[in-house]
Amino acid sequence: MNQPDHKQHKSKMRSSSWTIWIVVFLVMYFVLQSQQDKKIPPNQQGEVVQNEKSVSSSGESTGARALPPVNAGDHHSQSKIVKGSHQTGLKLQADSNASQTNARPITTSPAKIKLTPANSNRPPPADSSKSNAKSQPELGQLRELGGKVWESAAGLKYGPGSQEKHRLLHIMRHAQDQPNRPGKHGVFLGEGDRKKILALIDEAYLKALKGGRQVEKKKEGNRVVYTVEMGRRIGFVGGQVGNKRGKPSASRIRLVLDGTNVITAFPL
Amino acid sequence: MFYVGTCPFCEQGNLGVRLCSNSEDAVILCDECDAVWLSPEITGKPLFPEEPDLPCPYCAGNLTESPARWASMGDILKSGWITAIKGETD
Repeated sequence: MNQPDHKQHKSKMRSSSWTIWIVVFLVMYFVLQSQQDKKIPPNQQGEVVQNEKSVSSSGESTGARALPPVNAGDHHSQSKIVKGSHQTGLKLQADSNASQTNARPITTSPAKIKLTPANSNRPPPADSSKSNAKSQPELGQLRELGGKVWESAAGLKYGPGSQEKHRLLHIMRHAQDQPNRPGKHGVFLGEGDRKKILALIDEAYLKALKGGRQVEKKKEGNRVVYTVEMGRRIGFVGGQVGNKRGKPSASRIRLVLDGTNVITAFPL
Repeated sequence: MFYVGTCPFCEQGNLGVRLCSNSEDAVILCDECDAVWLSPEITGKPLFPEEPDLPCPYCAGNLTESPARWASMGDILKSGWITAIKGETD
């Protein structure tokens, strides 16, 4: 008679011990869960995403300027990773790293991303090359002096004059060939880009001022003619003569100046 | 433009016959560097009139502003420089 009662008592004991184990397991699970949540609060998770966005869009703070702009798809995948990785912060990093390596070239390290908080009030570190570029204008850049006179970065002045009414227009006559023009007609490389041509003239002028074997100088009153060997192809010889000879390469620039005023400049 | 040769100064420009704006005085003007000769004899040193107006070396006119212009064949015949002409540019 007592045997069924004994069996019932045993099964009850087993089920209660299972229940205790399950409860203990659940408690441990929730404790671990809460600890991990403390490590990465929800607002900071958002920041990680923002951080990655700011890095990918500007790229300046991490030095990752070469990065192409991240498309919308990338943002979605990143936010998905964050949403799906509430369980462990480590998983968040590992996944985001994996998504970065999959999505773009290996130029950004996750450590760098961590070091540049998005909410920092500190200004970004000053880029010395940038500040130099600002203080010293690029060759070929012009600034207006008034009276239709423009000054280049190297100090050459372009003002009214010539048949084209302005020296800049006259110089740009040497941006393309004039195959029917008698004699030679030097043509600058640079696909007619004025800035490139003016930069080349600036470079030649600075080289001319330094002097040396690659510079010839001829003076007649106020007029100075510099012929500067640039050491590379900077144009070709066009015009009737140049075209007859198959448009030979030009590596020299001739500058005709009146003081610092440009009269003309062309390749030869 | 009728030209008499290539400029010996800049070695690129064409030397045209230019008439000044005032009394149509004829000079030889480089279309590249604005060097000026008073006749087609270009062996001598050039003049460099003041930029940008290029005042005429003979009168109060200039070589840049209208009615200054490149000489026509009739003008060149009148000036007696026809034998110096090498050709005509576009």
